[in-house]
Amino acid sequence: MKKDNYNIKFNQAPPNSDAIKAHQDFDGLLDSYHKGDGQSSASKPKRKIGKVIRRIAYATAAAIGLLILSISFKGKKNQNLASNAPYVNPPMEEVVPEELLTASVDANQGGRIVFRSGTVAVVPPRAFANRAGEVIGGEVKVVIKEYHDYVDFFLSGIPMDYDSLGTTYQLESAGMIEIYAEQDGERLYMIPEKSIDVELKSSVMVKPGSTEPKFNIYKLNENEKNWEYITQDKMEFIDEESMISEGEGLDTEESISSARAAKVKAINNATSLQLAAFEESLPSLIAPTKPQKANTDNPTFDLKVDKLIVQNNISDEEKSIQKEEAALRAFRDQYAKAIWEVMPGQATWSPAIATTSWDDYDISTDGNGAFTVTFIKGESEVDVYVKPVLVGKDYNQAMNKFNQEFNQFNNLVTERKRKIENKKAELDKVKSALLISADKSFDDKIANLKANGLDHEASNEMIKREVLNRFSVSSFGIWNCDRPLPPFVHSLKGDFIDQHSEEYDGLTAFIVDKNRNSVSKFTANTGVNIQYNNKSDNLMWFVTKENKIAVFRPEEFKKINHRLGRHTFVMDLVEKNVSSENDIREILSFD
Amino acid sequence: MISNLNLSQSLVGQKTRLMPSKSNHASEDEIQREWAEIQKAQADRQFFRPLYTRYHEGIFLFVFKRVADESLSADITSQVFLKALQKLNTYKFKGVPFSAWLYRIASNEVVQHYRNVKKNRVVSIDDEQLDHFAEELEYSDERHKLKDRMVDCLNLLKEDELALIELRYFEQLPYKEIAAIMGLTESNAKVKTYRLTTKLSKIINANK
Repeated sequence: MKKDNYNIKFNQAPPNSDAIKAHQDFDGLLDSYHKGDGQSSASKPKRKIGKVIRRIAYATAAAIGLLILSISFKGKKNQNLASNAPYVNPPMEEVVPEELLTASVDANQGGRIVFRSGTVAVVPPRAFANRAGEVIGGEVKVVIKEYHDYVDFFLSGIPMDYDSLGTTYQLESAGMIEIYAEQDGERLYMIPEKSIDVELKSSVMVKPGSTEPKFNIYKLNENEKNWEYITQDKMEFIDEESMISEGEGLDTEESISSARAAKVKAINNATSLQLAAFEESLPSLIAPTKPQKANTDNPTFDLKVDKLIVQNNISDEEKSIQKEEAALRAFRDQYAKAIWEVMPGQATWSPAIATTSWDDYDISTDGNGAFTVTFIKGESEVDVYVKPVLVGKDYNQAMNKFNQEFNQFNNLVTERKRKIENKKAELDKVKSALLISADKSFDDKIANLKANGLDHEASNEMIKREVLNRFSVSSFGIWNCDRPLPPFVHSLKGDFIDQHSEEYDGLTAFIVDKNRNSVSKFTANTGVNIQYNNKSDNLMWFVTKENKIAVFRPEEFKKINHRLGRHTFVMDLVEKNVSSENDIREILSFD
Repeated sequence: MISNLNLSQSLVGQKTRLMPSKSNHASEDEIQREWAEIQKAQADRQFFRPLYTRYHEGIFLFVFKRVADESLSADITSQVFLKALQKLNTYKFKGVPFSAWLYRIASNEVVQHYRNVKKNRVVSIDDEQLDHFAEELEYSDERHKLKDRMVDCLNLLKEDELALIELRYFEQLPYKEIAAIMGLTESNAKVKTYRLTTKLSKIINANK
């Protein structure tokens, strides 16, 4: 009886794209991957990832072990976050609730939402799914929380440091939002391939006359406890009053120096491009291929080539057959006198191959000089790597021809090199003249600046500019328009008391540089290293157990004797009870 | 030393037929761009999303053709991508689309499934694929006998031979990708396919 090995089905209609898409669940998949248990928390109840997935229990247990160890450790730490606190840790949540902005949208239709802050969110149709992965319709509430300055960042508890390849950077923000959607109190998910376009209004600190700085978009990954780079921020200045138009700009020594450097770079680049274009215009030279002499230690054989399989250049059937025939003719011409030498060290070669009567053979090439001969007998086949070689008179004739062609080639190479060098000398002369002229122009500008007493003041000034950030949100969470800045080099050991000589040890402290729209935090242990910009205005504070704020103000920072390497920070404990964001802004003011 | 080889000239004068290429093959630029995406995902699995979205449907259909059940296809597809996430750091760039690696995992998952359930593996063919393959085999008998003859032919094949036929003639993948999926060289994939079609052509046209 005939045995069926397969269950062959004809015209089996597969599910359509929408039905297949409904099975997509990347968030659930990622969840499973991180848990390592093969069970997706966001998947449909009946879907199982499979018994082949093994739980990485011992790694998870080890991670828990490390966490417990860090909680119990009480040694002196450097500038580190408290390791037992949640990653996003609002310090005054009970006292100062966060302000939410909400708007409703029809999930089937989508729509453009303008929040009262001026932030815009464009929601596409059918963008939301529930936990089961089902696309939902009806009214949906879109919620955002916005964060713009150091007080916002402080109250949010969102870390503003970013770890990249082992180096910690401070993230300077041009605006941050948390965005999510819910329906009947249940949080929703974004459908893959759908995204919400956001226009976030905020501000940045820049030097006068500068163009939009380069910021990036990051998303907070609370699992990985880090920010993830997404893309570049499409930032645009939107405040017309402080725009400086071209030609009327407030020149500063710094901006002139930057312009000079840019001009020099442009002149150098233009010269390089011209030289490259000249080289490109010269005909390219191809060295002749040296013929290979047969090595008498390796076996060789002769082949009559009737069929050649070329592995590249496959196009449609008619063209390819013509191409193959042309390739075959060219191949025969090129290797008419060649024999085929077996490459040494092949496991598949044995002398028996030479004496076997084969049914057939194929020769194939990758187009780059490597050949494979496949000997075939019945169901068996053997691949042998070979190269074309010459012997005797054929080799001598080929070598004579090669030597003549190679001499010609060398002469052409020398001539080409000479032409390029001449051209380079000519271009360098022009470049020199341009650089001298540019230098003089910039020197005149700086002299003018100094004559008017504007050099130092202008170059240190930072101004606040209003910006619009544009980016697309592909999943709910916290999105930030940021740029990473390196930590300050200057550091100082610190001890902390207040005006009543009360000592503080182990509280979370916050520090802000007036010229950076960010806030960094550290654990104010006795003797901790504090890093800050000692050339700028700084503000430092912490929240006591009684929810009061103790502050160290800019004018106090200026009195620090850095040469001592250590300082006792006498914090000003503000007795006022804090009950609103305004209270905090009053206390944490630079003025 | 000239060796002593007796070679028959069975291919002299025979026309070599080349398969038409699939028009939507990934270009070199696309493959390079994808490699950059993969490297990003290797550093952080969150960035695997675009790859997942891009290939989910293709893998689903690949599996469906071999199991013919939507729910089971969804489960196996999930397993494929989970394995891909777990093994992503072992992925090495070979100049073929990432899908080739995913198809390989999918292929193995299907095999494993059938080992567990101990049933015959499904092979799905539609009329267009059947006609195209019949033309390839130079089938010249009556059309109404074709399906039965094809079933008989395919049942004679070993699993790896069947996989080659499916990938080349039903999925219409280029040899480079087939080679990557099946762990062969491109040259071997071509030669094996040629041999198989020659053999099947003889079988399907026998007893006319």
